[in-house]
Amino acid sequence: MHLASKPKGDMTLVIPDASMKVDFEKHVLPILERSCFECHSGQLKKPKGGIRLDDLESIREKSRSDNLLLPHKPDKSTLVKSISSNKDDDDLMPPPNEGKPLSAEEIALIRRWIDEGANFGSWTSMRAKEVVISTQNEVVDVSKLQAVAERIDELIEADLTKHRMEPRPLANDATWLRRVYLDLVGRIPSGDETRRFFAAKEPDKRSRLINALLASNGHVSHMFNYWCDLLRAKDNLAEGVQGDFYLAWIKQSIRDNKPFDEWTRELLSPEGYGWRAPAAGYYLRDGENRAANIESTATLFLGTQISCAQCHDHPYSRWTRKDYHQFLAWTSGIKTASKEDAVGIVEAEKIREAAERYDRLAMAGMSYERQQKYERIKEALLALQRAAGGAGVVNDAGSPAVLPEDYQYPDGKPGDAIPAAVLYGEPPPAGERPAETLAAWVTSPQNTRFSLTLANRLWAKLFGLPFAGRVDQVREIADCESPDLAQYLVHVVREAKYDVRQILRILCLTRTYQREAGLPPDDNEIVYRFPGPIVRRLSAEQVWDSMMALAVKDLDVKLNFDPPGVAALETAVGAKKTSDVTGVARKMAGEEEREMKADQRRARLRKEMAKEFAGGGLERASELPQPAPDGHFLRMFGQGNRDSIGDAWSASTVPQALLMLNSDFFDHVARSGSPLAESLRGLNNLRDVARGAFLAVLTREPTQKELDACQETLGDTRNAKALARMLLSTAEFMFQK
Amino acid sequence: MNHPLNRLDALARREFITRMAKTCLGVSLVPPASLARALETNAPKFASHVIYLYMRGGMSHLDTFDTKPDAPAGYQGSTRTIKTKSDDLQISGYFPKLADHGKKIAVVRSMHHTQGAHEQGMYKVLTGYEASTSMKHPALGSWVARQVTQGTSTLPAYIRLADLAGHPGSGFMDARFAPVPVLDASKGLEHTQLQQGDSMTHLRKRTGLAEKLNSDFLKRFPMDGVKAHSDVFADAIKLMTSKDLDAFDITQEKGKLVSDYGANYFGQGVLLARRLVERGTKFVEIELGGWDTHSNNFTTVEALARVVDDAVSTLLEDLEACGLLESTLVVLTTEFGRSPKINGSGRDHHPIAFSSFIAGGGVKGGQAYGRTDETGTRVIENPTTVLDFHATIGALLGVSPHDLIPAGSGSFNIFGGTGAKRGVPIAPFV
Repeated sequence: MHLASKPKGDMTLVIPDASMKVDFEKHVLPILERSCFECHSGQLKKPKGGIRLDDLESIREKSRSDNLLLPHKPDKSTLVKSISSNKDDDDLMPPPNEGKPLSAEEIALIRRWIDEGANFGSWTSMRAKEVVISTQNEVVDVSKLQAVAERIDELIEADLTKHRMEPRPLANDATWLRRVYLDLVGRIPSGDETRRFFAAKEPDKRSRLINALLASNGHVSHMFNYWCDLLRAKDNLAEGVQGDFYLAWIKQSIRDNKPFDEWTRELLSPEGYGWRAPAAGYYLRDGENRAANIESTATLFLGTQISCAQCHDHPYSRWTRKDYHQFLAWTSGIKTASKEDAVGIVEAEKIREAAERYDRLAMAGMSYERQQKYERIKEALLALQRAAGGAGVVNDAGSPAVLPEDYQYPDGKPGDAIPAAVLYGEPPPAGERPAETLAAWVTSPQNTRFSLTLANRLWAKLFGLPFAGRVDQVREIADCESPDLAQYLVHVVREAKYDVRQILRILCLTRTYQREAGLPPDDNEIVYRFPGPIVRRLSAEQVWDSMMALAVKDLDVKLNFDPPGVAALETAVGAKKTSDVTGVARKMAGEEEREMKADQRRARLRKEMAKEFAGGGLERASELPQPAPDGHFLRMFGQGNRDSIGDAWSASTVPQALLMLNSDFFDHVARSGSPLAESLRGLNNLRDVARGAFLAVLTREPTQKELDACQETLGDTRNAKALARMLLSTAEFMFQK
Repeated sequence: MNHPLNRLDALARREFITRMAKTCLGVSLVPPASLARALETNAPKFASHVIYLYMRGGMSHLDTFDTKPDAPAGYQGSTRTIKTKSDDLQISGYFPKLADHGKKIAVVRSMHHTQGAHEQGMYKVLTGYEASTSMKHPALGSWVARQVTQGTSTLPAYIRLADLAGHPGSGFMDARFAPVPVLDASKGLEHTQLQQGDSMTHLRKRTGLAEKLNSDFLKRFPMDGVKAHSDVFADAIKLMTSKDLDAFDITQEKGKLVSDYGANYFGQGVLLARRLVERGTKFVEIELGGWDTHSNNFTTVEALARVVDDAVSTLLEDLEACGLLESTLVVLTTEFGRSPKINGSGRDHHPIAFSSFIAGGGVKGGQAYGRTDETGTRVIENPTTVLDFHATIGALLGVSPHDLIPAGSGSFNIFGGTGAKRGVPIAPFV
């Protein structure tokens, strides 16, 4: 067994005198190192009880979940309880014959340290103290994609070797193909796409495919789902505030591959109303609740959770209540409001008069159709007026923030004005608008956490687990399991100039990404060193979009990410007279009528719309209401309701099974003319049928054993669709490997 | 399966309770006098079902079950206090009908924890633990589904009449004990009928083949999640052939009763809960949202309380009429209380003191346990953790404290396992 450090028998205990505080590194750490690390360090594959004492983040995690260490409360800290148990107690730590027992003085010292507040000083982990980050000053040339990918593999493999582990073997073409489609475009490959890839002979066919997928509409659709889950973006951002322009802006930003730093700056410092300031949706989402918003900023862009500190010093992290409110102060210049005074240069009053005229016409008792038409024109006029102004934000200098009225610490009084301050690092140069300064500080290349948080998320997306602690609580580079890798990936993010597609491309090109997938670490095995990606269940959107790929030909080709109605709005705003605005409104009303008729036609075609389609038809999840309504297939399979960051879930439920077994959903997926039906058409022996169905649903050929099983069970039933339906209910379909 | 408890005679039961008290209290003491007395006078018949009413958003304790008529200005606002049928229990004037059932209700006024955000507060109250990345804990309902072994039913043991967003589910336990979400109480469980043209024979053929493929996949990737995938298909088929499914057909109830429960989602859900419990579901979870009253606290609470008052008072009467009251615990709780000091027209989050109640299922009603200070800000008597609350429910259900499930670094059960934070049942309730 490889040990962190040899137990030291001859340590002399240093006890600080009463006028001094106990220093963690000088006084406490040596005791832990001598008596505890043998069983409780990250150097072990499975630290006993999942407890690591060589790492602050792990100590905090256990303090939160199991009261390991509660500042000022030694009696309630389980650490103290277990080192001071009786000799014959099972709970005594260290257990007899395993590590030197603690002396009464040592126990008293640890109690005193906790009593004084359990301050760790600048210590974050044993690793951080000893580590030399070999990649610290490494130059990364992101134009040499393959070389960068190989360097990442080298770092992973070196870390595995160091811990006497082996990387897993490379995955075959079929496994890799399904994986890369699910990861980059959020669906399984169609039968045609699979056949084309298998037939291709180019040696670089994998990198070609990665490029093609990253450039496709499907990628935009998939990443849109990914970011909406994190941004809590939805159709109704708040009471009376529509999200259409914000959602469209998210899609467009992904389509245009807007660099992530630029994207973040637009989110954190927007200005204006309606479709001219779509990024304002980020603030509008939380209404006047700036606190919820700043907590989301910290989590999403800085990889740290600060919410506890809104009311009191964070018990398990370094943030104080004052830190929180000083950070919140950056948003003091943001005010949300809505504006409905005019459409461009045409006065609000004139628009209202026009709307009233149509209202009178509608009431005048003409034919039902006419009445409906005028009604729609009236609505369009009012909608134009609302949209042209619409909800938005004012972003200015604001007024100084103050400490809350129940502020309880000695370093300030309730109502004291507090200047905005950043959570760590250099204070940014003061600007006129606090939100703008915040945005500049967050996205600065000097802000390592911003780059690390992005790298960590994208890594977790592709490999199934993050490399730098949790996605919402990112470790410092030196505290990561592999600081070399963490530092290198930060270089990659910066050198790629926050180009998300480029970063994904590099990660997909690694050997690590192309290896066979394995199991996630179990409860006690805290560390995963990436011998390959991990097996995981598909997201609701991946399940749905995969079904859609079977149901709809050229699913992704028709996607259009232009924002709704902006062209009409532009014309209306440019109009000089009321009648021009009315013209736009009439056109809008006409289009709406056509759409309604098309909807009715579609509904008739499908007879009664099944509930799992409610709110939309056979389209990508990104084109349906955000989020899909309760009861929709997507919600049954785990799409979140977008109330908290990343609230999508992923578990098997009985209602899902019932749906797969008995709903007519599958009949719509496999309706005649669908790619699935087409790929199975005209096959008349069981072997061909099985091959077709396996290829379409599981992206692979059946084995001989599976063919036999199909033969045996289905006998001469050659119902290809029944077979495809059966495959859609297997774990292999529902999981990504 | 038959729980060993069912076979115990009175003496053995007493021994069992003593042992349980020891384990739960963590000390070798004789059980509290009340526990012992309960055993001598009438051998307890344990409850076996729970209807769990979750007030989502954070229910103001001051305006519901911990009113403070004598608080200084700026705290109680317009909420009145009324008497109930029990001399020892007063509640808010928003619950005139529940007041008639005062003797059935045991209120805890000293609930407390430290999670001030909705998601974390909900996780804490549903599981008894703080959210952690290293371990996902099961919700109370999963413990009940797993540890109450009386009775059999093809219906899912744990039904939740809402979606699963933000829900811990069965945590580290098998997905068989996870809540089955029913999104529309009026429609019940969907897709329980074979499709036209399909037959059970065909369906079994298909699922049999899928099962073959699944077992190969599970061999390669032995993960809980993969196993759960197979399990839910097996459960689904069992359910399809069950006569218990008519539980979902509320039209079988009398019109007056249906309307007494309240013509709203919550009221109808509570009625459905009774029907489910009747047919063997062990735990039914229902939410009533809207309690996040940062503004308009008083008008909002009044409206929500009316919904609760109608539904829960009707439920208690109905359970009594059906003879189910003794075997069914009605639990009402929330993620946290609300700040006693009124802020504008509302109240903010307040996890350090809040109220919950238990009624039916043999609980000693007509009392309030624990006390908050004169403003309702802090707990000053008999502080009760969420695990204490769960332990009380476990004791009322007669769950064996020795039935432990290992996970992560410890062993767990409905009482909070063997860890330092394990719960202690509220003695005066049991």
